[in-house]
This record gives sequence, C-alpha cells and structure tokens, in this order.
Amino acid sequence: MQIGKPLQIIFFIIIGLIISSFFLLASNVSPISGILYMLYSGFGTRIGVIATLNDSIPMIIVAIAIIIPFTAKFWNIGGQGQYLVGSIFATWIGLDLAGSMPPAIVIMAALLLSFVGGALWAFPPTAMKLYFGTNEVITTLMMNFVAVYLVDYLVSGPMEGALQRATHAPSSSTIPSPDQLFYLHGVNIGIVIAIVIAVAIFFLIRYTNFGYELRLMGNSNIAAQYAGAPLKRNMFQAMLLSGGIAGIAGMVQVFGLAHALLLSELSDITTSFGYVAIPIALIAFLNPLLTVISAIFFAGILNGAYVLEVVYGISLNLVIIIYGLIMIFAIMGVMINLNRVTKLFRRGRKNKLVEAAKN
Amino acid sequence: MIAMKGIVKEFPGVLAVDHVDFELYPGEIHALLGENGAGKTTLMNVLYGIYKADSGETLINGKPVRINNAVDAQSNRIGMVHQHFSLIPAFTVAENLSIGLKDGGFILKEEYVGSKIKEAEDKYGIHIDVNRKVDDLSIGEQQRVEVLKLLFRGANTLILDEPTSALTPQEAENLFLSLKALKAEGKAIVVITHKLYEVMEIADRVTVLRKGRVVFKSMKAGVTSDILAEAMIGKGVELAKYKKEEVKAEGSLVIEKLMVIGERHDTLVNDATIRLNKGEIIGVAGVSGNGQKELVEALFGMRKISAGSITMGGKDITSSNVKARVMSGLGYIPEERKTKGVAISLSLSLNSVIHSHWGAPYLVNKMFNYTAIRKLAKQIISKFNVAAKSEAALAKNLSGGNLQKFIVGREMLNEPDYLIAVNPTSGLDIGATEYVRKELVDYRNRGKGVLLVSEDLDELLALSDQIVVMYRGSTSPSVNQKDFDRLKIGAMMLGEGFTR
Repeated sequence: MQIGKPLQIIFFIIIGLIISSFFLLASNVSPISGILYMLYSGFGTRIGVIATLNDSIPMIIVAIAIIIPFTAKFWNIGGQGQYLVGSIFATWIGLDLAGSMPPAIVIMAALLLSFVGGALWAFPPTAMKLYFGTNEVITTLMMNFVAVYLVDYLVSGPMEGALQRATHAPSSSTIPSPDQLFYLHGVNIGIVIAIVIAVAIFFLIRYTNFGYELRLMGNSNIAAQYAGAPLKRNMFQAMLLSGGIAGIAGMVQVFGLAHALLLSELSDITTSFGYVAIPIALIAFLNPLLTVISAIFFAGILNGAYVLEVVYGISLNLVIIIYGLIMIFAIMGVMINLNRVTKLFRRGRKNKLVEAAKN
Repeated sequence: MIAMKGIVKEFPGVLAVDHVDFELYPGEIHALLGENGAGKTTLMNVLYGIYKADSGETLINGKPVRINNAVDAQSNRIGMVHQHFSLIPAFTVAENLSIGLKDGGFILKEEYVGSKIKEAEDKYGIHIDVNRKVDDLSIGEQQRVEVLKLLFRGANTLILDEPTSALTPQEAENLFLSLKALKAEGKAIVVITHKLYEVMEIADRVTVLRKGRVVFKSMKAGVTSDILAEAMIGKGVELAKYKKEEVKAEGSLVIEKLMVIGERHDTLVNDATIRLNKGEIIGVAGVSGNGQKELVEALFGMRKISAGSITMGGKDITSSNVKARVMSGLGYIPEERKTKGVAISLSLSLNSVIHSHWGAPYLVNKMFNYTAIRKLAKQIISKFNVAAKSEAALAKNLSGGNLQKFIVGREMLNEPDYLIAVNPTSGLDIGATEYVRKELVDYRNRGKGVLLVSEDLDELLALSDQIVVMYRGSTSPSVNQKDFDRLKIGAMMLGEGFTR
C-alpha cells in the first residue's frame, strides 16, 4: 500500500458524491446540504453512530471471513450463503435449547453451530475446485442462491414461527430475550465479537506460518509450493475457516440484531452482507483491522442515506443508488493505478507527436 | 527471395541478434541452427513482425518491406508456426482453420475448408480430420493444423520454430515428408532447430548462429555434422579459473532410476541416475527441454515421482514433501527467479524466510518473530552484496542480478547439505555471473554438494567436478573432470551415445 492510496480513495469517493449530487438535484434536493446531512446523520449524531455501529457488525465479520481466502487469491464469493446457513444453524440450536439451558451455554452452542454451518456451506465449492478444477467464483456464488431459498423454505415451513403470525412476514420464532446478545449504551455486544475476530485474523495472517503461506499463495502458487506450502490443505483450511466465520456473522445477526430468522426478501441488497463484504474487504486492502473502519464507513453512509429518504422524501431506490455509487468509486480508488493512467495519456500524446513528426 | 540485412535486436542487457544477414530462396529448406539463446527465434520473430529490429532491413525480391506485425507478414505471404501453438482448443479443426480466412463467404464454410483440406492431403500428405476438436488432437496433429492454417492464408514462406521438439520420431518423419512436398512446390521454408540430424536430413542450406551472430553459412552439400557441431558450440571461451580445494566429506545424494510421467502420459524423466557427493559439483548438461526441469522438480518434491528413489545421506526422501526435504538438508536455486524463487510483491524480509520459516529463531511459539526475520534479510543483503534500498523493499523492485544474489544468499545461509542450482547465471551481467559462480565453488569447498543444471556448457566445464548429460529424459554416465571434452559433451547433448 502506498501513502497516496488512501488519498486516492478519498478523491474517488468525492467523485462518487459529486455524481450522486445529480440524482439529488433531480429529486429537488440541494446536493450540498443533502450530502452533508447524510454524513451528519450517519456519523454525527448519537443515534446515528449507534445505528451505524450496529449495522456494521455483520459487515465486519463477513468481510473478515472472506479476507482469509482472498489473501491467497481464492475468491470466496459465497459469504452470503455461508452467513445464511450460519444463521439457520444458530436459530435452530437457539430455539431448541431455549429455556432448557443457561443462556451462556445456548450462546456458546449457537456460536459453534453457526461456525459449523458456514464451514459446511463452504466445503462443496472448495472440494470441487481442488479435485475437479471448477471455478470457485461460480460455485460459491451458486451456493448463495441455494442458501437463500433454503431460508425461505424453512421460515415458511419447518421453522415457521410465532412472529409470522404477528407480522405476516415469514420468519422463525423469536430467540427468547435471556439468550439474546445484550446491548451496551445502545450498541450490540456483537461488536466485541467482531473486533475480537478482526484482531485474531490480523494475527493469523501476519504472525503465523499459515497466514504467511496464504500470502505466498496469493502471490504465486508456484512460489508457495517452492516454499513448501501444502497448497490443497491450506486452501481447505482457509475456506472452512472463512465459511465458519461468515456463519458466526449469521449467529450475531440472529441473536443480537434480528432476533429471528427472516425471509430473505426482507434482507434486500442493503442487508446482503455477503456481497457488501467484498468491496469492504477490498477497500481495506484485505487488512482485517482496516476492514473494521471500512465497514463502519459504509454502514454510516447507508444509514445516512436512509435518513435522507425520511427527511427529504427521496425514493428508497435513490438511496441505494447513492450507496452503490460511493462504493463503486471507492473500489475504483483502490483498483486504479493512477501512474498507469497518466502513462497511458502520455503515451497517447507521444504517439500523436510521432505521427505529427512523420507528416 | 527474402533477404535480411544487418539485423540488430537488443533486449535489456542482451544483444540477441547482432548484425545478422540471412537469405531465403524459394524452393529450399533453410535450417537455422544454434544453441538455446543463440538468437534464432528472435531473428525469425523480426522477420514475422513480432519484434521490430533496432537496425537493419528486410528485402523481398529486392524491395525493402516493413513488417510490423503478423498481419503485415501475412500480406507478404510469410507464416510462422511457433513452439507454442496458437490454436483454440475448444474449436474443431475446421473452425480453427476458418478464422481469418477471407475466401469462402462470411458464414462458415465447412465444405470450403473440407475441399481445401482434401487438396492439401493430396498434394502434401497432410492428413487431418476436420471435425475433431483441437483439444483432442496430439501435438503432431495440432502442428499439422498450424501448417495448414498458414497454407490456407496463402503463405509461401513458412517458418517453423523447433517443429520436432514434441513429436514422436514417426510424426517427425511425416512432417519432413510434407515439408519436402511443400518445397517441391516452390515454398521457402525455415526450420529453426538445434538438432543436427534434422539438418542433415532435410536442409538444403544451413545458417548457424552463436550468441546472436552468424558463425557459419553454407549449402548443406559437403558439410558434415562435425563441422556444424563445432560451429554451433564454438571453441569455448577461456573462463576464469576457480580455486577448487580437496574436500573430505562423507555423505551423498543419490538419485536412482528416477521416472517422471507427465500429464499427457509422456515419459519426462526416464531412468535418471545421478550420484552427488558432498564437496563436489555435479554438472547436468543438456539442451533445454530434455527433462532437466522435471528432474529437479521431482528431486525437490514439487512433482510426482512414478518410480525410482532418492536418498539423501542414507535417508530415503522419495515420498517426502518439500518441507521435509528442506529440513533434511536440501536447497534449491530455481531458474524462474521471479515466479518461483520469490513471492515477487512481498518484501525482502518476508522472502528471506522462505525455507527457514518453520522454526526458531523466525518462528517462536508459533508466532513470527519479525525482529529476527529482518535481521536475516539484512544479513543476506549485506553478505551477498544485494543492491536493495532496505529489507522492506519489495522483491519486484530488484534487478534480475540482485534478485538472484538474494536467492543464492538465502539458500546458502540456510546451509543445506545439497544445493540444486538451475541456470543460476542466465540473464545476469558479467559481474553478477562471476559472483554467483564463485559463491557456488566456495560452497562446494565448504564440503557441500552442488547439483548444477545449466544450458551453458562453458559454465559446466569450468565449475563441475563431474558432468552428466541429459537427453530425452535419460542421463548419461558421469564424465570425470579429467575427461572433459567440449565437443564430446556437445555431441552427447545432441543425442550421441543415447538410444534414440
């Protein structure tokens, strides 16, 4: 990471905001006050900060999860599916043990089971990649759709609960309040789980042989093999760990924030943490600690944009457009090599000069 | 008639083609002979428009032409078959042949292609089933498709780069027959090769390149293979003498009857046997592609061994993994320094612990000790004269020579009993070359064994205590230093003494 990169990202985010301004203008909202109000509501008020932190929790955890295989250039796009299956397992064990076991045991069991569920979901694409050479981007992505419909089937069938009768939205029963993850000054305690995971994975990647070998693999599999890294075993471990941690995000969501397993329709694009996690991790240069900041930033933008909807009456779709634009431009800030761009322009000019000289 | 005059092509640090004149007449097969890196392919790539010559010109029938890309070459009716084919594996032969074809209508044209193929079969004896997928074809068949592609596009000058390197003898024989038929029709054909017997068999005219220069040029009639061999490998340059000391050390690395079978079920290493004693440099000579790469990979645990055994100091390591081999005393300086020897976008610090990252002092209580790691990197940089800003510099910011010194240093500081070095000086300047060679000899003098695999015969003659030649995956008996004979070993590299 060069020093210039963070500045470049900020620069691109500003471009994203400028383009968003046109959409705001089209809805008769003054762009400057609109954008300032959005940032203020996301990061400036007590309520805003609390909401932002709470929303960032699953984003952080899933983003950390995918960083592990991403470090070895193994593209786990299946964070969403692993997250959903983790939440299924957590909900099931939570409801099954409710009342019969002390809350601490229930929570530990749910954490463990959600990890197992996520890892289980990551297993088939990994095995297929390693033994048949299928493309992991496609298989992990496809597993997401299976997970989405599995949730839909469960909440309107086998796991259909009392909550549905009250709200008419398919969902499981509620996790009883003694078992829920508690709030401290309005912030769910899940944030502690998220930060512990972030620090642990930071150490895993920086300070262990396993992390070192993943970094070598991310550079070149041949170099890693030369260095003595067992490629297949590392890949399996990285993917199962990744799936498991994404699964834990599902547990935290169910036990801390949603308190029940919900129909996937109720989790629209803005709550599809598995997908949002990818740009969040990339913008943080796959650094687990920076990921915490990057996730909080996007959670804040999203919250602020929601407030715009309420206060200025702009459409929800527009809110999501703005959120998406900022994310796209932030990613461009990470990916684009400005040196190369300027070189391209210079080369273009040089060619023209050569042409001119010839004529 | 094509004439190339005074062609010069320089790559950073290497003068690949140095004022070469080359003539090609219709109705002849012209063999372009030379060792690896002699500049044969570069010269032909200039003719085909892939490279632009730094100076010199190309004339066709006396008129200067500019060939800046393959399209220009095609419009001058020049075609080239590269060593690596440019066919689309998922397409059928007919589909591949139709790409870029101007005649026969916009939409395909299997009938048209079919009739053309029939014609080619009758005239040149090139058989191929147009409906098969290229993926399913053997190398020899794919090559036929490449040749047909050129003919379909109207080429009357054909350049073939090492056309027989992957062919069976039977396939090569068929190719030669086809080439002769094409020649009879008035096509001009260039065959790039380093195999003498091919030249003797098919060429009408020979040009020999060495280190980018034309060293011999003649009609084939009257030329013997001895003359060509000498022209090709030269008399040898006087290399600096290296001080070798008598070393007493017990133990050896024994490779016995090693077999490596490739993915296409082809035998890459065949019954290779090498015995490397401590305090000795064994040179492995051979034209590249004769199984040296696969032998080394199998030796280091990066490739599956089908049969045979490897023992190191009496310990069988045939089925050990890379880690176990390194821990029991094996080191490896790979030829691919940027893609294999280092993780190119990581820092020198992180690269310095490759092969020593499994234990103290770099891994303490399962945690990396970055202080020790940085110290190691600094030690390599200062001891082996690596020009790097600091140990935090990224490997990709080092020049080839410095990267090589870094890798040599890293492997030697790890103190393996046996060190494999593959083309350790290729692409290095004179200073770095001498440095690396001296380090290798010093390492031997300290009682360690060095397996030096190199395409540079002079290097092997200067450094080795014994030389083993590899040809088509097999090894020759080892030749002792007192029996070193440039020409004899050169001939062995070209297959003499091996059963063909």
